[in-house]
Parts: sequence; C-alpha cells; structure tokens
Amino acid sequence: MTSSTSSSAERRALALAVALAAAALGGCASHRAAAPPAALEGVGPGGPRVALFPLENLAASSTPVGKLSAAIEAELGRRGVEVAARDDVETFLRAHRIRNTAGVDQETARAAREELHVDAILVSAVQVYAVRPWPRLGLALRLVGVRGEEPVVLWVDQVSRSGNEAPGLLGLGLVRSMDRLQAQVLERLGDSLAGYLAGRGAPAPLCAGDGRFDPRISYRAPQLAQGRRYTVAILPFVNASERRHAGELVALEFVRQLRARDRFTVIDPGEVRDQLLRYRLIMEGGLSLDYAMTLLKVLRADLVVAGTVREYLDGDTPRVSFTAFALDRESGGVAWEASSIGTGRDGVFFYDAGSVGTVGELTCRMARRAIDQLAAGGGRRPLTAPAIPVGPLVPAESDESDEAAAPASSAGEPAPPSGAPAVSPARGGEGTR
Amino acid sequence: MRVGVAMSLLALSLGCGGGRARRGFQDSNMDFAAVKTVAVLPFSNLSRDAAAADRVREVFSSMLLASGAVYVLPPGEVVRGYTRLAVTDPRAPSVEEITKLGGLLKADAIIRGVVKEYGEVRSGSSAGNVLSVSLEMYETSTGRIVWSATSTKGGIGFGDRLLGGGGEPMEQVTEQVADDLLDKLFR
Repeated sequence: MTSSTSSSAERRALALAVALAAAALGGCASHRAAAPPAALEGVGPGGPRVALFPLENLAASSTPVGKLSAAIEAELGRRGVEVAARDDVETFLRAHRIRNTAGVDQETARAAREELHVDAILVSAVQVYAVRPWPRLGLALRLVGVRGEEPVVLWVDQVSRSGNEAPGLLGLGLVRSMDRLQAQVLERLGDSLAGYLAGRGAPAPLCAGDGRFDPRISYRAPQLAQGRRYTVAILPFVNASERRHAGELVALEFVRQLRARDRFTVIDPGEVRDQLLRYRLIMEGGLSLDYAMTLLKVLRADLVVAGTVREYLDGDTPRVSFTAFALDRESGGVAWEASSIGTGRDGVFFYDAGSVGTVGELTCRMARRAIDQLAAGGGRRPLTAPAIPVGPLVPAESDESDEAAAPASSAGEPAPPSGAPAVSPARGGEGTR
Repeated sequence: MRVGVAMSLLALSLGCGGGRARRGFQDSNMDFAAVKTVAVLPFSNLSRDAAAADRVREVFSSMLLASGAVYVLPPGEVVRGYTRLAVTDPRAPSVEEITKLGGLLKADAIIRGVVKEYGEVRSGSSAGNVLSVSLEMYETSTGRIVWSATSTKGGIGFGDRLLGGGGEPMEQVTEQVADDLLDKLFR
C-alpha cells in the first residue's frame, strides 16, 4: 500500500517535471521562433548592424552629450546589438561632411550602407536634461532602415522621466540621482528596441490613451479614406513658444505617433529636411499650399503634417499647446487639423493621482489623441479646397536660376521651366499613387 | 398739456427701449452661402500680450474650419499671399489689396480682426481672464465689408466676486469668444 502510494507520487512528480520541462522548452522555442520585423528580413543571424549617430541636443540646458551617447552605446552592446565602431562613424561623418545628425537622408543612407556596412542608423536626441531640483531626463531614439533605396523609420520611441513624478509611499519612489534615472530611461528604451528587433515589440510603443488630452478643436475631411495607406512627411513645427527646439520636439512626437499606426509610412525627417534644402523651400510664417504640393511631389508622399507650437513648458506642471494640420496631396487642401492644449494636472482632483510629470509624456498623450482622430476619426461634409497645379521642379543645385527653382504658385503663375527631374509616383503602399 | 406729457413719456419709453446697441453688421444683400473659401488675416493686437493675436486667430481659424461650413486656407498660404502682393499692413489691408489677395489666394472672403483685450483683469481681490475681439469679413470680389461682429467673454462675474477664484482659463474664454463669433456669422 505504502509502496503503491509512493510510486504513484513519483509518477505524478515525474509527469509534473516533464510538463514543466516541456513548457520551458516550448517557451524557449517560441522565443527563438519570434521572427524579426519584415523591414529587417535578410539581415545576418546576429541581428541588424547599427550605426549610432551622435546625440542631438534638443534640451534647453547644457547636457553631457558624450556621456549620454556612450551610455546609449553601452546599452545597445548589453542588448547584443552589433554597433559600428564610433571612430568609423565619426570618420564617415567627416568624410561626407554630415553635420546634421538629427535625421537620415537618401544620400547618407546609401553611403552608410556601402561604407559602414550597416542595416540601420540609430538617431538619438536628448529632449530634457536637468539635474536640479529633481533629475529630469527625456531621450528619444529612432532606428532608420537604410537597406532600401530610401531611408525608412523602422522603430521610434522616447522616454521622459522625472525623479519626483512617482514619489509613492513615504517618498520611496523618489529618484534623486541622475545616474539612476538615466539607467531607468535607458533600460526602458533598450527593452523597447530589443523587443522590436526580436519581432516581439511594437515599432513605436504608444503612451497611455488619455481622454483628458483630446484635442480641443479638431477637423478631419472625409477625403481621407478609411483603411487606405498613406505616406506621410512631417515638417518641424513653427516654434512660437519660448522653449528652444519645441518645434522639432513636437514634430518628433508626431513621427512616433504616426509610425505606430500601420496605415502610415513615415518618411524620415532627415530626408524631408534634405528635400527642403535641395529645393530651397523656406517657409516663413508656415507652410503654404504650393510649397506643400512641391514637397509632397518630390518626396512622393500623400500627406504633409505641419503645425505651430505655442507653449512647451517643462517643470512640475508641464504645459503644452500646439496646432497641427495635414495637407493632402490629392485634394490640395487641409485634410485634418487639431488644436490641443493641456497641462500635466488636467483632470487631477485627488492629490497627484493621474498627473503627468514630464513635458515629453504630456506631448505624447496629446499627440496620440490628435493622431487617433486623424487615423480613425469621422469626417464632415466635403470641402471645396482649390486644386493646386504643381509644375515641374528644378532642384536648387541645378543650373536654373533661383526663381526657376521656386515652386509653382497656386494662383496660376507660370510654372518653372522644364528640364526638372522626373518625379516618380508615390512610394510603396497599398492605395498610394 | 396732456398731449405734451403723453408725447414726452412716449419719447422717453422709446429712447429706453431702443437703447440696446447693435454689436454686429450683416449685409442683407450678401449671399453668404456663396462663400466657400476664406482667408483669415493676422489679427491686430491692442492687448499687452504679444502673442494674443496669433493665439486668438489660430483658435478662430481652427473652429471655423471645424464647423465644416467653409474651407479655411492654411496660415502659411495666407502669408504667401500677402508677401507676394507686398501688402503694406496685412492686419489692415486696403480695398484694392483685399481684391488682389482674394484673386491670388482664390478666396471668396477675407476676415481680419482686432484683439482689444486679452488677459487677466482684477477687481479688488478677484481676478478673471477676459477676451474682447472684433472681426470683419470682406467680400473679395468687391472689397466691401459684409459682416462684422464683436464679442467679449470672461471677466469677473458675480460668483467670482462672492467666492473668489481666478475665473476661467484663457483657452476656454478664447473658445467661448470664437464660438460666439461663429454663432453671429452663421446666424
């Protein structure tokens, strides 16, 4: 009797051990089986080789850029990402006289692919850096694929943290050291990137969808078809705030929010900047329709997103105010517009429950709600947006005069002379022209 | 004598009854349904806040577009228009400039405005935000004013005086003013 019970218990223990081992093996197998994202198919078994561009300082204060850059590189190494040697990258940047490292244009992408033998470029920017009274750090990373002919935003994420944003019980959650805060920020970014590269994570993790930060005024034209894929170019926003780089920071947030939606293909801001310079598109006072149409044509995009930032205040109660709009290539008019204003304490009634502690997080939530309406919102009655004729284009470096390089106006001024480069149809994507 | 007293009373009552001044103008001969595209020029700023005019203009433009009734040209397009025409003061264009601007921008109407008051007002220990805006709409084919309206919102109310408090946030007051002006435009 005793013997029988004992052998039964042993059998049960053996079965349990086998089941646990099988589950563990299955888990490992499924982990190994996670495929890399489609954009990185065909890269080596060790994952993509990445070039880390120097950190762009978009903070309003002096920032130890070298130290942060080294920490990002170390985090990538810790995650097993193969990074091109820093000296090689610096030599490459010098050789090609690349001074703007906030984005990747077509030329840079091609050269990096051929000379540095990389699959992607990691563009990094520090958004907020303050040590006192509480450490604050905001970092944005963007992985730009260079394997194709045109640079494509593969993954983008940003994390903003403040040492006092979650004090918790008896202040145990306070972070007083910048090194600790930096480690937390890099840990989250590293997790996000590693997850994407392993095929498990999102290409642009979203922040919380929070109804408190809905746009106060919004409009979406019905010509934006549901379910259709759009290629989008995002311009730096006009900065009407007192904070330096606020226009770039909000535009970067829109890059992330649009990349997070499958129906939008986002052109890297570096490529947009390159085309603005190439065609000498200087937009004083904001984006005009003819410039927008020119840009959409040369970038082979469907939508261009621009806007104005009125307020961008960091601190214990962050405050952000912006207006964003999208111009549609097909209709030649405004297809979407959203005007948002919010503070970190909107909708907070009970102590600090629900407050948003950093301006980066606040911008993320506001931009997310605005883009939610662009991506899935309804529409109003059709508008009578004027059709904008766009003539052939002449890049600035051509032999034509400056006047010829200017885009055709909406008022029917004569188009620039011919001899311009042929503009190919819209980029890939279902439903695009 | 009696007739004289009666006439005096009648005149007095008419005077009191007719005291409510009109705060807007709408051209009865204008077909507002024909206005499809509108350009909103930069507003003049008579307040102490340097950015007030741009803020109010942006909110008003966005709300006008969001109404779905007309198409509002993007601000950059308007800038391109008056820069190309070398308009001396886009905040107060001449009739000739309005007609030219309308032709260049293909706009049926042009709206200009004045922000007369923007910001906090105080009375004793109470404070509140106030905004006062006047707008005018011009028909671009003739350069005539076809609509004008004024709106003032915010300030210190009875409740603020009684209970204190800082009044409504400026963005809410701005939206109330824009709403009021749109009500007057579409009435």
